[in-house]
Amino acid sequence: MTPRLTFQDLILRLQGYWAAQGCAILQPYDQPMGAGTFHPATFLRALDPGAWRCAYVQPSRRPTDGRYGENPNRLGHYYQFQVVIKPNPPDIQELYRGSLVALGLDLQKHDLRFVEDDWESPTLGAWGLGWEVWLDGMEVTQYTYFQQVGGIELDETPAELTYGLERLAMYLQGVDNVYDLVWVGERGQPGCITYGDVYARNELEQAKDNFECSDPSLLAPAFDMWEKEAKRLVALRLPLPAYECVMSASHTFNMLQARGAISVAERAGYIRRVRDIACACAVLYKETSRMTLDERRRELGR
Amino acid sequence: MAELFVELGTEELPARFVGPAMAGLAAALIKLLGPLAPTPPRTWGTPRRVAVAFPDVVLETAGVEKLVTGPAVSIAYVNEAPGPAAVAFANKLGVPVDSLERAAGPKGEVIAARRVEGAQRLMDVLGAGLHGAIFAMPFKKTMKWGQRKELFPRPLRYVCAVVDGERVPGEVAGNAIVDTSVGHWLWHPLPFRVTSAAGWEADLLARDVIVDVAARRAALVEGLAGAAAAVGADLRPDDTLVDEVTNLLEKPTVIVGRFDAELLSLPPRLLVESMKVNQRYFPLYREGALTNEFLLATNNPHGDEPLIAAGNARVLAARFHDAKFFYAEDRKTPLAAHGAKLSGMVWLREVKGASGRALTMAERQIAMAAAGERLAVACGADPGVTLEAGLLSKSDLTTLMVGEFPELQGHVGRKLAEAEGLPAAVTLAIEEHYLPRFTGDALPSTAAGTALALAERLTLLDAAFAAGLQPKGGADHLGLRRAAVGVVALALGAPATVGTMPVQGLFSAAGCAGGDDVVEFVYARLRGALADEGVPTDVVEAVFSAGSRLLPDLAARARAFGALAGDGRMAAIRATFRRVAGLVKQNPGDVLALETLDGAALEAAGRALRDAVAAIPASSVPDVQLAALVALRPHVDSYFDAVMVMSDDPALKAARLGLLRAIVDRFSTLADFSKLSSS
Repeated sequence: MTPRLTFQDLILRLQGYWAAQGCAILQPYDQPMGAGTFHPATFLRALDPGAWRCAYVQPSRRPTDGRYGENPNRLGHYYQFQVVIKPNPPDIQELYRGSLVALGLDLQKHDLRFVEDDWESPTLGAWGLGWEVWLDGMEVTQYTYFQQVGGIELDETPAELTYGLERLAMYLQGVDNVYDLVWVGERGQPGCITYGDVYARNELEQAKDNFECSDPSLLAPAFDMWEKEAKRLVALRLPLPAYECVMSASHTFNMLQARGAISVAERAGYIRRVRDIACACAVLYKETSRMTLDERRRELGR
Repeated sequence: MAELFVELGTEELPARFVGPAMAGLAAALIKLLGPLAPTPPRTWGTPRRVAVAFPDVVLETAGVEKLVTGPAVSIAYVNEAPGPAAVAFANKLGVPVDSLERAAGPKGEVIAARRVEGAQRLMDVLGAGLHGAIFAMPFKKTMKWGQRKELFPRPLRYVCAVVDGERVPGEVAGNAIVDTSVGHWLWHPLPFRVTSAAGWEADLLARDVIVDVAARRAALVEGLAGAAAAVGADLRPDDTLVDEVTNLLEKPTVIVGRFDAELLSLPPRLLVESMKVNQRYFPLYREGALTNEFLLATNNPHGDEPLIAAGNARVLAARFHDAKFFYAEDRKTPLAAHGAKLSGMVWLREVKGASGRALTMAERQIAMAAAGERLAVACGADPGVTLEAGLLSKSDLTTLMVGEFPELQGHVGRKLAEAEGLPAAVTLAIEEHYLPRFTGDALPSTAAGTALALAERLTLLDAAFAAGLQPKGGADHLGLRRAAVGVVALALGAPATVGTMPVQGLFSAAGCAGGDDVVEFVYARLRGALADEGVPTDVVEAVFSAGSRLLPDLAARARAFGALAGDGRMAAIRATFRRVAGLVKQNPGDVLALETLDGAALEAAGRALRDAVAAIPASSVPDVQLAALVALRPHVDSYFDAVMVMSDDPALKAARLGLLRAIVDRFSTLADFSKLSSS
C-alpha cells in the first residue's frame, strides 16, 4: 500500500477507473441531499429508457450524524462516490473488485465479502437488493441492484455502487481519526492539508446549528412550501425543477429531525409526504422521458 | 444408470437462502423429471452456488404405443383414396398418410393411427425445462438484473448441467448451459470441466471451496474450537450464528481479533450483540467474563491474517467509540432524571391522557409501576421493590445509548441503576420487564420482574382495546399480539403465582378494566399456540369450553389430549365420549350422586359401569383424569353394546341417562366432549 493515497488521489483514481469503463464523470449536484442516490443522475436517470453510465462524487448531509467534530468516525457532512450503470453488465462484480485493485489494494491479502443488504429508501419510494461490501469487516461500499424507483418498477436493472470515501481513505491511509486524513501532500510536511483542515470547523458550526440553533418555526413552514412548490411544478409538467423542490423538502425534514422538532409519530407522515412528491416527479419524468427535446420544447411553448 | 449433475453459479446469496435454494432446486428437478429421476438427489450449497446430483437417472423411457382414432372412414376416404380429412388427421399426429389404419368406432368404421405416447428423453426434458424449473423455485425475496426479466435472489451467473459428463443442451436466462464450474473467486477464477458430481466436489475442495454444507460447518466449528483453545478462552455455543457463518463463506478460516480492553467498560450486551449481530464475530470469555478477544471467520483462506484481524478490530473500535461517548454522557445523569424527560415523549398518539393530550411515556411509566405494585403480592414480589423498579423501568428510553442502540432498552436502565447503587432486585426488574421479547425468549428471573412484565403488557392491551386500537387483519403496529403472547408465557412460566388467576383476574389485579374482547384476545393467543403445537382444534375447543379459565390448566389439559392424538387413543375417546355428551346434552336433567342410582333399574351392565365410574380416583391432574378416561372407555362401549339408553320405559331411560350424566359430570373440569368432532 505504498505510497499511501491522499484523499483526493482516492477520488481521482476512482474517477479514472470508472471513466475507463465508459462512465460519464459528473460533478456533485449543487443542492444539499442526504445521499448520492438523490442526485437526479441516479434517481431520475434510472427511469430513462436505454443505457446510462455515470460516476460522481456527491457530498451527503446527515444533520443527525453531526458530532461537533468530536467523533473520529461520524460526520454530518461527508462524501459518497457514486457509480450508476444501467443495465448492469454481467461482470459488474468483477468491475467493482477491479476498482479496489486500482486503489492499490491487494485483494489476496484482505477479506472482501458481500454481505446481504436489502436497500430501501422510504422517502424515494425506492428499493433494491444487493450487499454491503466488507473490506476486512468494514463496510466500504453499498452495492445495489435497483428494482424500483419513485414507486415505479424499472424495466432494466441499474447497478448502483456507493463508496464511503472517508472510511475507505481511513483504511487505506491507516488512520483512526477522519480529521487526520491527508487530503493533499505528505503528512507532517509543509503544504500538507488534512481533512480536519478542510472540514473540522464546518462540522462544529453545522452541528451547533443543526442541533441547537436552527429555527423550527422557519423550517416547518419551509417544508410545507417546498412540498407545495413541488406539486405546483409537477402540475406544470416540469419534473426536473419539481424534483429540486423534493430534495429541498427532504433536507428540510432532515434538519427538523436533527433539531428534535419531529416526534416519532409525526416522522412517518413527513416521510410519506416526501415520498408522494418524489413519486409524482418520477411518474412525470418517466412519462416525458421518451419525448425528444423538440417535442418537449413544443409542449412547453418554446 | 447415468448421473445428472446441475449447479447454479450465483453472486453472493443471503446466508438464509442457501438451504432453501438447495431444497428448492432438488424439488424443482424432481418435479421436472418425474419418472426419469427415480432416486433421491444429493445437494450442496455455498453463498455462490447450489448444486444437485441424481445418481440414477433414466436416459429414455420407451413410452406406450396407442391407437388414436379419427373421423369416419366414409368422411376420410374419397373414392377409396385418402381425402383432405385423412391428410389433416395424419399431419396432426405426425404420421405418414399411408400408415393410417381402420378401426371400429361406436358409430361405424373410423380411420386410426398408431403413435408412441409418453416416451421421454432426459436431455430433451432438461433442455426444454431447466429454465422454467429454476425460475419456479420459491424464494422470499427476489430481483431482476441486467435486461433479464427472470427473478432470483441474486444474479444467476451460470448453469452447469451434465449427464455423465455430457453437457445438457439449451439455455437458461439467455446463457447457454455449460459443462464447467469455477472455484473460489479470488484464488481460482478459471473455469474447470465437470464430469461427475464426486469429481466436481473434489475439484472444488482443491480450489478452496468446501461445497458440502455439513463439512464446511464442521471445518468452521473445528476452526473456532482450535482458535479459542489457542488463546485459552471459552466460546459459548451459538448454533444460529455457526449456521449463518457457514453459509456466508465458501471456505472458513478462523482468526483471533482483539479490541481495546478499555471498551470492556461498556454494557456487555452492547459488545456481544454488536459483535454477533452486526459483524458475525464469536465473542470469547474467560472465567465467565467477556474478554476483548473475539473470533472471526474470513473467506480468504490464504490472506494476511494480522492485517485482516486489525481491520476487523478497527471496525469494532469505531462502532464502540460512539457508544462509549454516549454511555459516559448518560452516566452523568441519574436514571430518574433521564425519566423526567419522558413527559416529552408520546406513548400512544390515539389515547388521550388526563391533560387531554396524547398519553406520554411518563404517564405510561407511572401507570405501569402502579399496576406492577398491585400485581406484586400475587406474583410473589415485594410491592415496594416493584414500584421502585416500575418508576424507573422506561426511564432509559431518553438516554443517548438507547437512542442509538434501541435493542439495549432495559439493559442500559439496569446498568445506570447499578452504577447508582440501587439494589439488585430493582435493577434486574428494570431490565427483565421487557421479557419475553419473542416466543421462546427467557422469562424474568425475579418476581418483581415478572410483576412488571405483566403490568407492561396488561396495561398496554387494556389501553389499546379501550381506545379501539385492536389489531385488524395483519396490521399490529402496537405489538398487541406479542404483548398477549407474553402474558400467556408469563402465566405458563409461573403456574403457582401468576397462573392461579384467570385472564380477567389478571387484568383486575393490575387495576385494568379488562373487557371481554381483550380477555378473549389473550385466550386466543393460547389457543393459537396450542394449535401450533399440533393439538387438534376441536380438542382445544372442548378444553376451553370446560373447567377452569386458568392459562396453565387450559394448556395442561389440551396438551394431555394432544399427546394421545398421535396413536389412535384420541379417536376412540372422540367416538365414545362424544356420544355420551351428545345424549346428555339432548336430555338435560339433574346430576344425581352415583350411589343414589337405583341398582335394580340399571341392570348388570349399568351396575358394572357405575362401579367403574365410582372407582375413578379423585384428581384434578389432567394426565390422571385422562388416564381414567381412557380406562373407562371400554366400559362405556360395552354398556352401549348391552343397552339402549333411550328406552321406552321412562324409569329405565331416567336411570340410564342418569349414569351418563354422572360420567359427564365426573369429567366436567377436563373437557366438554360435545365440542369434539367425529374425526
